[in-house]
Amino acid sequence: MSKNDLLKENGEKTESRRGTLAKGLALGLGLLTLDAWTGKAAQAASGGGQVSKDSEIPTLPPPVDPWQEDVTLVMRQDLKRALSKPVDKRHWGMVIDLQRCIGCQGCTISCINENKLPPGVVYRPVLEETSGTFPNVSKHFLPRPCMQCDNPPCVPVCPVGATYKRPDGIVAIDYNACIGCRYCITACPYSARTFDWGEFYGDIVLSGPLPYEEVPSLEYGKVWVREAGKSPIENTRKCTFCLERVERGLLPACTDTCFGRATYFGDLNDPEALVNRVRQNRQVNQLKSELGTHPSVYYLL
Amino acid sequence: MEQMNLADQRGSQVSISPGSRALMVAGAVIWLALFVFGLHGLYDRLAFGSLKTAMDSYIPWGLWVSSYIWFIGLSAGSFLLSTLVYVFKLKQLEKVAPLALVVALITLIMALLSIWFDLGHMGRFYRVYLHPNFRSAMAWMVWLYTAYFVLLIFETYFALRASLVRGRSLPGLAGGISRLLTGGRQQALSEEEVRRDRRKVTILATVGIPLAIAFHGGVGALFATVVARDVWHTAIYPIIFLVGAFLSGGALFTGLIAFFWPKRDDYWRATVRLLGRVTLGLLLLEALLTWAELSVPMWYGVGPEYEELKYMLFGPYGWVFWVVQLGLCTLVPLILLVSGGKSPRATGWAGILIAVTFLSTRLNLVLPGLVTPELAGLQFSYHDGRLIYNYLPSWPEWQLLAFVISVGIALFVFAVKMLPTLTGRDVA
Amino acid sequence: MKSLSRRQFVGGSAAAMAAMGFWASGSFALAAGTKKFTDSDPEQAVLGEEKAVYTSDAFCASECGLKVTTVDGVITTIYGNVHVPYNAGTVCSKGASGKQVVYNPYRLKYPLIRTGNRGEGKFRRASWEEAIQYIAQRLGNIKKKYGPESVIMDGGDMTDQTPYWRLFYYYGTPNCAQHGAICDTPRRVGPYLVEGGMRIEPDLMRPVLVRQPDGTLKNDYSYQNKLIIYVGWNPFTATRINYESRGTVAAKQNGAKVVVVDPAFSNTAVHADKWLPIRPGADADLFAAMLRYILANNNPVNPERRYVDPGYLAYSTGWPEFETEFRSWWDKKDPVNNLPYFSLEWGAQRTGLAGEDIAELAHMFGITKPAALVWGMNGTGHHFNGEVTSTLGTALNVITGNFDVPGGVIDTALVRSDKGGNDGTDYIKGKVIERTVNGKTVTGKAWDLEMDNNGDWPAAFWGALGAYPKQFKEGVKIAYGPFAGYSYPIKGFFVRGGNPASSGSTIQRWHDVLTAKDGNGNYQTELVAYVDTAYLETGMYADVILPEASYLERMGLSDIYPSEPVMYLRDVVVPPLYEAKNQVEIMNLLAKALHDAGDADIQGKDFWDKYKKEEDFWNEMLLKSPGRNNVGTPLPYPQYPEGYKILGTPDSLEAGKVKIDSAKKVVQGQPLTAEWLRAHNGVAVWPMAWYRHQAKSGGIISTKSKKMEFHFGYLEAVNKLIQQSGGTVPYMLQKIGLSQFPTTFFWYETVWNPYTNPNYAKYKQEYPFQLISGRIHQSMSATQYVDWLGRISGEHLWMPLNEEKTVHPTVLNEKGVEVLAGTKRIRAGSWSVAVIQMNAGDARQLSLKTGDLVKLRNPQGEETQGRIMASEFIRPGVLRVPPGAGNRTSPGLGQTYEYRQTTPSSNRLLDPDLSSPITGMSTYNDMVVKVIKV
Repeated sequence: MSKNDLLKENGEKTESRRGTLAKGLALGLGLLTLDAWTGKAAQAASGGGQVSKDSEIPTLPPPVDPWQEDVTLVMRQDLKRALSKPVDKRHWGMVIDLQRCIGCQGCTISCINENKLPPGVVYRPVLEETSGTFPNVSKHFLPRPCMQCDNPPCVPVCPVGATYKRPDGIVAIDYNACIGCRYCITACPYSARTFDWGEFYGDIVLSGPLPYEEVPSLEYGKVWVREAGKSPIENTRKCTFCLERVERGLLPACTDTCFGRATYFGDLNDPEALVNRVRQNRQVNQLKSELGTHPSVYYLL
Repeated sequence: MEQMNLADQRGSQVSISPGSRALMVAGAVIWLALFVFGLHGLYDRLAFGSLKTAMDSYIPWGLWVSSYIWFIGLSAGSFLLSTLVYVFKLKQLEKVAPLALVVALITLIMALLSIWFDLGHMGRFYRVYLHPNFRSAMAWMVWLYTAYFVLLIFETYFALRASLVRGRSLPGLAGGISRLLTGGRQQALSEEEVRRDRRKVTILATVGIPLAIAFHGGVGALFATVVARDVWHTAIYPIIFLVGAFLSGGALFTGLIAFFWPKRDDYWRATVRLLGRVTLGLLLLEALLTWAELSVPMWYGVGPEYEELKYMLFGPYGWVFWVVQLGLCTLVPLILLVSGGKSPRATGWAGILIAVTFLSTRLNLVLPGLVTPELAGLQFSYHDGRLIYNYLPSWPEWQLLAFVISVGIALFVFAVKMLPTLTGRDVA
Repeated sequence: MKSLSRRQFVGGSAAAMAAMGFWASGSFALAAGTKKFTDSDPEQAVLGEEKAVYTSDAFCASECGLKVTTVDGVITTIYGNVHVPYNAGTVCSKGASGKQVVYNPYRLKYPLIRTGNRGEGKFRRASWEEAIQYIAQRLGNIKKKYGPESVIMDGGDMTDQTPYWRLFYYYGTPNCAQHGAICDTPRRVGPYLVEGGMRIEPDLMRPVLVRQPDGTLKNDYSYQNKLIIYVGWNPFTATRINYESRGTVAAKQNGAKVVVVDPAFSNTAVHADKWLPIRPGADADLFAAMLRYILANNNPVNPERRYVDPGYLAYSTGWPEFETEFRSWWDKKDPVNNLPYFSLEWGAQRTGLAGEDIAELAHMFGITKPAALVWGMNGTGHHFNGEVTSTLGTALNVITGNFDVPGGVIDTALVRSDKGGNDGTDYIKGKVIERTVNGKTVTGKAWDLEMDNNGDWPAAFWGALGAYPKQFKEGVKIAYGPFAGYSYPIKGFFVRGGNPASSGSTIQRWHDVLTAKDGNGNYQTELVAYVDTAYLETGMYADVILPEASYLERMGLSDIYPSEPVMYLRDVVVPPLYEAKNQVEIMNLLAKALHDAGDADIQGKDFWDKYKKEEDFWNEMLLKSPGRNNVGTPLPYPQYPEGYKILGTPDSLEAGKVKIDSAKKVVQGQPLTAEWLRAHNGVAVWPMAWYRHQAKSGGIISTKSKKMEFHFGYLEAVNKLIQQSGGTVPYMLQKIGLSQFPTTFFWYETVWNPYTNPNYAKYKQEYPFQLISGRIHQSMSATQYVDWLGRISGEHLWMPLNEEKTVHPTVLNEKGVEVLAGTKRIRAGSWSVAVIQMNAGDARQLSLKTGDLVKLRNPQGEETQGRIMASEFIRPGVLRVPPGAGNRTSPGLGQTYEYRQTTPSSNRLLDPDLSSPITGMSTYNDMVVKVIKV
């Protein structure tokens, strides 16, 4: 389904956009012109064939403008509420507003910083999807964290049960149990899993780690120093929504750092949480949801 | 069954011409080169882990996984061939059946070595036994291999026990091994005992048939069940794997009998011809399935499978399909089998050619599912030598494969030397 | 790296294990599933001593506020400082990559002294003592033989050059340049002439601190913008004016419309409502057509045609003159297309856009209030006639009433916090010197010897760095001021943080002048000193190299581009690694050495005795913060007299702990210090206001008349100086047929543009492509030695089209320059390199595909080569390459260096003899080329 179809279905949305315009601008030519532009812009922004409508938005309190204060502060309050609940009563989720992502890839690098990722391991690349021919072209940026699927294809394939679904929705890997067969990498439809081949950024020039590569990562709340033959080297690795940060009330690195403030994070079970409020009255898409993976990551178109 | 004087047999019945001695020396030199070459790969694997491989996170399975399914197919094929005798009582192959069992065992060891070396944490292999996840096709595979491995050992033992007991009198190591395997047993087996062993073998082989189909079809299913990979995710995959196993296993065995069976008599000629026909039939069936596998998703030229298969056929490594898989592994053997059908040598070459080049078929099953990005634009998002959609096995990968093959050859030669019965040298 | 081995790291962390008790709080015990975590899990995370430092970026000109975490003294994470409104906690990929600058294996680690020829890149390690003596001795000789003005100090691309300027001003040379001179001066000239500012940006910084009716201060997150037009300006990719990125998308969601005018479909255009793929170099043409449409169709009584805001003209002078001059062109026919100047048809012909689109744009901009018209480096900064563009753009914003209104445009240069003037400018401007001119002894100020303002570029308000090779070669001929007729050679070049040999105009010329020898075989330029953290091409020409602390190892101040006064501290996160030193240390060391060698101009009281600690220097600069007048609506400080200059910390101003000096009209709170900043999240924010140009008591407008000038007082003064000095017409003015600087509307065509300048029409057939540059944030000059930034792509300009290579890395270590014995393999497709973006249709026509290697040749015979990126995201007939990103010859750039043969340098192709007539800016984006397949 293309975004145009969605626009048709969601007539109300299109209408309200016009309304804003009318308020903001004078009459006549201006309105006509802008309408034309809006149409073109909507066309330009239409994506590929992976768009589907999220039909599961619960009835929620009226939307508020989160921009009355810094959204990261709002979301930290959300985290506090969520963390006061038992772990199985929360469901961590992420919402990425594609209208706000500017493709700076700050999240990609911040994530590498936070998780001390080695070469070849990336948890959150930002994809560029492009289409059209000059001058009718379009492009959108698609940050791709782990979808933390509710029905994750990567979990059942693991021969030793090293990867598993936590009750709070995070798909985790027990590094010390992982045998490094990489079956899960082939099974993930999002390429969200990468393998730690044992390389260091220092190897590009010398050999062995640079000073910052000797600082351990704290994934899953444990200390991981990368040494040959020891986990997480020779393990599959993946985005954890920065679980160890989240559990102490901090936002995932990508969310904190997001240049366009396009990334929202919080407890999907909490109707008051910003992750739920920002989805209201927006067209929502999930990646490859036709596979039935039920991702915990939503994209706002 | 007539007892033979084993000591006489070596000199009189198997004559080794100066030419074949030269060949043997050449073979030994080649093997040694392969082994040394391979040893370096083993060192790289043990010292550097996965570092020296060319695999990456977008193409996480490469030569080692492909050679693993190649070997495991050879094993399943050889084993199923042996069941023609042990279950289906095909007389013609009776003499060669024990060898088929041993080949199945050796190629199984080669397969397990290949996949073991592919594991990031080789030391954690035991976890599949202690903490298996039986939803995983891979866990099933490991358990089925284990069962198959145990079954093969027992079946081989019972199939060979009579001749092992006879072999106690052999000089040197061969006799020692026979004595070791038969324990305190001194006298020859009674006919009743032979019959009992034979029945055990039949039962084990009968059990082995579904097992071999399960594990090898299961290897196909291991790929086919992965929803994320369009090319893999098809019901034909397990079937292709099975037919491929029959073909490659049968072809290997054909080649082995054609070249390593010591007595070039009528029996040998008839056996090779029979094996050649079986191989030919399987080759045609394999070709049909390959046609189905490629033509169905590609017919209208749209869809993700089309793109991936197109890459396989016309991408930078298209020659692997056209030259190796289609040429050396299909057309040349086909010509040899059809036109040289009466020549055991031509049939043998066809078998060897198929068995060796069948790796290309395996590579072409594994890699196309991995070569295109699962999400458009992934290749331009974050770059690294380990995040690219272009895989060519590195030297250390080839070297480790060479090591595994040299181990297999060594085991085969050792088995043939130590157990003369395998090549019919203790049978009238 | 030994000093930071893991052994020490672990030792340190063992000592401080308990410091991070909360890591062991056992929250993971809650995790269920197949795994169970227990409270007593021995592997529970315990880290060493974790420390967070608020500091600020200097990796790019945006200078975001940062929060940098270290563990046992090693930098681990870099986040944005959420308290700095400029970036509000966000950082981009470049900002987050800072630790790869600090721990970069390619960085400069020790002082080095040249052992080979200049440009060869052969060095040996030297002690600081030896290196400083080397520089001081040569500076002393030059000063004695030729005078101190013979030395140029280039403060480079990074901020915090003040200590060096101070040193060189005291040494006696007025020739202190900085990055701004080579960045985008034509873009700034319009605002500079009209309101004395420099950078017109949309009012998008949020939050801003706003005084409420009840007297309290509140962070305002609301966006008022209705229309934003970016012309040749790409904040999402090029210069990440941080708040413009998040502000643009936020304002758009709030209903604002965004238009991007750019030959390429930039990442900013991705989020635009309309993209207008203009022909390169036609921005002035577009603005002129818009202005004509607006003036011609303006109707004060028709709400649909009420474009001009007459109220605004009350704050200006000279508009009628400007308008009359502008209208006087309307009846003239353009020889290029035989159409009346500035008409829609004319605009369409020139810009390659549809006439209706231009009309729409003008109309939209005219009726939409507030709106913002913003132009950038590529549209104006790097074209010969960018000065025309920025002047017209400023006029468009002002007459439509969008200047300094909520949601309109703000000249950030006029409202940002002051950070002092102790760089020695006052000293050099007041220093009386004597020179013998034509046999007569003349007395003047040392400043009067400044090479640009008194030489070829009398109106270049930031210098004309791009024209320096000419001065190096020919010497400086002072044409204006008391020393008119005096000449001096350039004998010393002290460059810090800059890389002119790769990016400062035509690089061949820089090579020639830095390696030129005199009759005796000695280098004509007697000293080239290079100070930086990175080893770049200019360093290869240096006689001596000093390793400077990276921005995370030293102090500094950031105040850049915001809508309200904001000042934040660049603080020391980790002490300098290896033997690097910070600027204040280097300043003091050099000052002491010069003093000891007998330079009486340099005294301890001005340097090492005055600034004992690094912090002393920056505290002195902070004394003048924020230094802005109490003006605008809402009035920032209603409790203090309107119009008074505000000084001091925000909290002392709020609390009334101030002294009010009515004579000087100053409200002095407690002085801002580094210590205060550290105690307050690293940042001081003062209240925002709008309409700051309207204050009767002296608003923000800093022209002489305190009004927005359409009769340019600045250029009039320059003309007066020229007349007084004998009337020599600057050579670039002569080239465009002017005898003096224009003081009202002016027009001249850009160069090397066959579509707008008749002189170049003949090249249309043989050289069918216009070559422009497209800035990619992660590929700028020194940036490329940061590994992570080679791992991401950008806008079809910075793509992983590298070929497979096996290389021997080169590093600068104890041995000097060392080519390592071991080889490294770089896989094809694993590294972003500079590419040539070409329209896909053009590529098809030339039978080229992505990855093909081609040569670009210009009519002057210069060439560069690189790989084609066939793209739908660029106008046909246009080639775009990232500036300064390709053909890098310094091994200090790591993998980028390895691909020097297959990556393009647009700097090789620009015309070295043409610089923008007013500012002297190199014409980076004006060239035509042909494409030859290699």
